Amino acid sequence: MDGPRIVAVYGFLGSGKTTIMMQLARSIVAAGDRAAIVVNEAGDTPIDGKLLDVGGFPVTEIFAGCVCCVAVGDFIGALKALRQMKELKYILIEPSGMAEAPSFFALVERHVTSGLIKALVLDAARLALLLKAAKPLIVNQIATADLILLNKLDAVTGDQLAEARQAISDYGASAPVHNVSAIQGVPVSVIADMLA
Amino acid sequence: MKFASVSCAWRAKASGIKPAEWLQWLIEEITGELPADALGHVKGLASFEEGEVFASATIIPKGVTIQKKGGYTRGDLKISVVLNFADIDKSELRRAIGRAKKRVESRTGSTLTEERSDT
Repeated sequence: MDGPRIVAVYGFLGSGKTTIMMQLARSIVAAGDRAAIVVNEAGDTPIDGKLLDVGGFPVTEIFAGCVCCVAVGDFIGALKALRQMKELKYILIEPSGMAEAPSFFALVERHVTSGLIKALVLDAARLALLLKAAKPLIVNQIATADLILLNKLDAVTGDQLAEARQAISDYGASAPVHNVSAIQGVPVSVIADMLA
Repeated sequence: MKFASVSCAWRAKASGIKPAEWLQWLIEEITGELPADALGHVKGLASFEEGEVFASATIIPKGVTIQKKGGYTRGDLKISVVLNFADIDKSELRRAIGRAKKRVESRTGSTLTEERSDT
């Protein structure tokens, strides 16, 4: 594998991607490695980028539209430049919460032929609602994933969690599914899987 | 599914109100203005001399998550909010921000002076 390993943390708006990205970044720093972060923020206000600016990571922010539709050049340019940086072990990518997963990863995989992990963050508290309102978007996200973090364990009942897991299985997920609570801390073993 | 994104930034003069309080109240009021099954999120950032406070919320589950960097002791604040929602048009999101702003100003007795908005 040439160049840094790329970990894409994707999922719907408010699913917990940025919180999980922060934990990934901290784990990387704790292990003595270096990473860069590319964030595609919806809108033009750099909130996620500022929040991720921890431990001196270089954070590249791509604004104003989803990269699979609008800011393609900026995003690919950033990715290419970062892959040339020999001191980096990881590039963490957070696509917009509005991104269509197949389009986004088709774009990335045109330029990245190995070393890409696609980690989907699904919101257990809203999964039923999301499947009702945006089934194709969510089903495509599930189909694309290498691993799935079923987040907001702290905010759902046992029954809701079981229903969410059943729904993921019903839509043919082949990726391993981990129940997590990002605000309480993603288990070290799950972080390790994402960085493997 | 169609998405809309709206943002706004204000300056709040130093008043004894903490950055986390500003964000908590603004975001609670904004989310209270939106449909109970709205899909999306509200993010907020309060910047000041000694650091920043970040806040975020979805409609489901209720609640505002706050993260702090540094500690606020004095000075004016710059407050930004971003709303990204599915199937709610920009005008409704702007109205939600406008109504929330008025309610928080009334509650605090302080004024948020607009610095930027995409309205």
